[in-house]
Amino acid sequence: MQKTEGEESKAENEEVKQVTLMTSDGVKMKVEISIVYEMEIVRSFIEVNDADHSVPFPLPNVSSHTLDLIIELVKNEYDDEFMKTFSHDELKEVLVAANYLNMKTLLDFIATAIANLLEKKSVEFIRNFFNIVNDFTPEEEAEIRKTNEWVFQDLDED
Amino acid sequence: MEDRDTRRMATATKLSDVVLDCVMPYIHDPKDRDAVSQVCRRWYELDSLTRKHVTIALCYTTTPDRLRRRFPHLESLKLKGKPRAAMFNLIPEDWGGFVTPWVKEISHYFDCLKSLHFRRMIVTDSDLQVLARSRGHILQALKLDKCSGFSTDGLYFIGRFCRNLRILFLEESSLVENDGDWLHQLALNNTVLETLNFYLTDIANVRIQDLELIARNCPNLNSVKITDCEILDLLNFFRCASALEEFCGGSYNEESEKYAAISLPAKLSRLGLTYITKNEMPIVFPYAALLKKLDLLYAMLDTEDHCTLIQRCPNLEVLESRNVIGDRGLEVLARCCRKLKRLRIERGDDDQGMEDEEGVVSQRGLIALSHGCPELEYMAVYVSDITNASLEHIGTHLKNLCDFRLVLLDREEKITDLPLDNGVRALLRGCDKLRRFALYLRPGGLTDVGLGYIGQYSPNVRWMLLGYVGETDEGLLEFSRGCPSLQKLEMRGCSFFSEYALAVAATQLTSLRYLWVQGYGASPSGRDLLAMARPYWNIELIPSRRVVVNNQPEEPVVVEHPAHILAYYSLAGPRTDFPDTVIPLDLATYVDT
Repeated sequence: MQKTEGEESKAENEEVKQVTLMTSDGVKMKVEISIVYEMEIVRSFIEVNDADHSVPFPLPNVSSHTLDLIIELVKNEYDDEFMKTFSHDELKEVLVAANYLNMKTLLDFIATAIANLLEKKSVEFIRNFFNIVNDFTPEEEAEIRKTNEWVFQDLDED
Repeated sequence: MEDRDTRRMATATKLSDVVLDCVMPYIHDPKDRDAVSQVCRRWYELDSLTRKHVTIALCYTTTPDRLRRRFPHLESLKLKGKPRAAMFNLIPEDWGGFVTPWVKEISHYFDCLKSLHFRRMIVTDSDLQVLARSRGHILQALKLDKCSGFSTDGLYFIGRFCRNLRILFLEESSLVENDGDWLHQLALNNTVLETLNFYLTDIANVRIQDLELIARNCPNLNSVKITDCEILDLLNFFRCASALEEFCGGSYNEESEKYAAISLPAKLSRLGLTYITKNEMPIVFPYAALLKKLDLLYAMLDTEDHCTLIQRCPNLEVLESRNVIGDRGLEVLARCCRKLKRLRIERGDDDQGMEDEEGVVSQRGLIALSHGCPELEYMAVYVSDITNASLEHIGTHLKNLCDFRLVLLDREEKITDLPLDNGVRALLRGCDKLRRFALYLRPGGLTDVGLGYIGQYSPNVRWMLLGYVGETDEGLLEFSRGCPSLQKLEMRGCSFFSEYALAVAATQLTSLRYLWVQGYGASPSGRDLLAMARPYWNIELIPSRRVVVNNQPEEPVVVEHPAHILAYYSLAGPRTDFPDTVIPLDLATYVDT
């Protein structure tokens, strides 16, 4: 079924080549080759193997939902407004996927967005955002806090 | 079930690690980095290994060894030494702030260090030699900012070995000049210099050929601040330095007609005009519309000249000048320079005859500014007169102000409107972005009630300098119940505050980590100050002393310096490198007495 469709579209519209990707949840998705080419991991495989684009390329670490978001982001030329609709989990998933797929522009875009999100936030906020358990002893934590506040914060210019 | 949960947790942690690894390089702000380091052990380590820049606001809060263990791969370090009061000659020269132990650590361990900024510290020639020999090949920026203790002999090694230096900054350092070889070495060895600054130093022996060579060899040279070279000798230099955006210094010793033909680099947008007079001022006019920064602190211009020049500078963002600018100059500024962000008006001690009849800075100028320059973020002004209304205007209109400093001069006997309680309250309530605040008045300038307002209405202020404000301990204690963000407090002229009240105030100010006070109700023993004694809190005294302030042994002018207190949190414990003038105060000293 997939194969037939692929052949049809290839025949209809030669310049919009597509590659079929298979996500971790078993969904086959056809993606424009210009987008696929931003995924270094897929691109290098295709280039080396001159593979049949209609055979699904497996992405065991990327869900269909995440791939949808990535495709939309790339299509929208990394639109800030669109990204602002993402939940924290979606942001993290896209970042991890971008890292896995080795998408440099996307990685830069999402990492910057997350860094901005963490700006001026409390330690508690960051722990919650990343779902991290505090493994410091109370003494260690106090010591680090003191050092950060007393030694490494600058106030005055003159 | 449990097994699955554990596995899920492990996966989640692994994902978080990936996310952090990716995001960490994008987190630069030191405060955000501090927060990251407190999340968990792994993040602490990641931050330790990847932190590139650190500022240490007081070098005695930690040790070189601790710094190295925490951030072994630092690329940039800013280190500050003597208290700010050193800039006003209030701190003994040998007080401390030696870079030697830091330079030693840097030369042994910090092999990624590219940028080094020492401020108000004591630097020796041998420190510079060690630095040049061990880190010369990678050092890209060296700033000796208001430092002392070194000479051009030490700078020779910097010029000789630091071939990759992009920034050499010596502004306002008190250094000894032996010869000009350091600059010659720099000119011979460097092709990447971007900033050369020995402004406001005693360097006089400058070979123009060396400056020209630097301009020719360093295509990225964009900022040069020098001492008083004859401007006519710099014509070639200006011709070669085509990338120059900032220039300060120079002098004008020939007939003014000779300056008419001067041509400055086309990109020049920041200018410091030392010794320029009305007659040479026209050389600036063709560039005035491009100017973003103008430093007239050492210009020989009167009030009228200020008006003439400023009205030609519609794009000015930074202006520094002296009182001679007058209210009239400030009115022109307010009318012509709507983009002004930073304004500093210093006191001019020898401006007699250069000012208008009413050529002083007062409420009139401040009101004009508050209406005309809505972008102002920084304002530091010495005024001769003041009213509550002018401060209210500032509070109403200057919503971007984050740093406000006001000093009331004592040249006028009568001030129009004191105390300033209500004006100060209005200003603080209006300017809610204020992070730094300085108010230096005179006895009667602010009552205890006004001091209480400062405590109540400065929720975000982190640094404060207060002089001659308040009346009694009550006011100080009320003040100290507020200011929840105040980290650094400096006070002068408060003989009416007792040691005990100061100590209690220091413990009540919840964020305070640094306190400097001069001119308080000092007792011979300082014993009452022990009320603020606590772990990690170093207390040092400089008892009152008589200081010779001129260099004429036959007729010494001696000034009485009142006692100082300096107290600060430190993880390094009490320091041991203090001179005789400094007395550390510790509980043990008083146990048996």
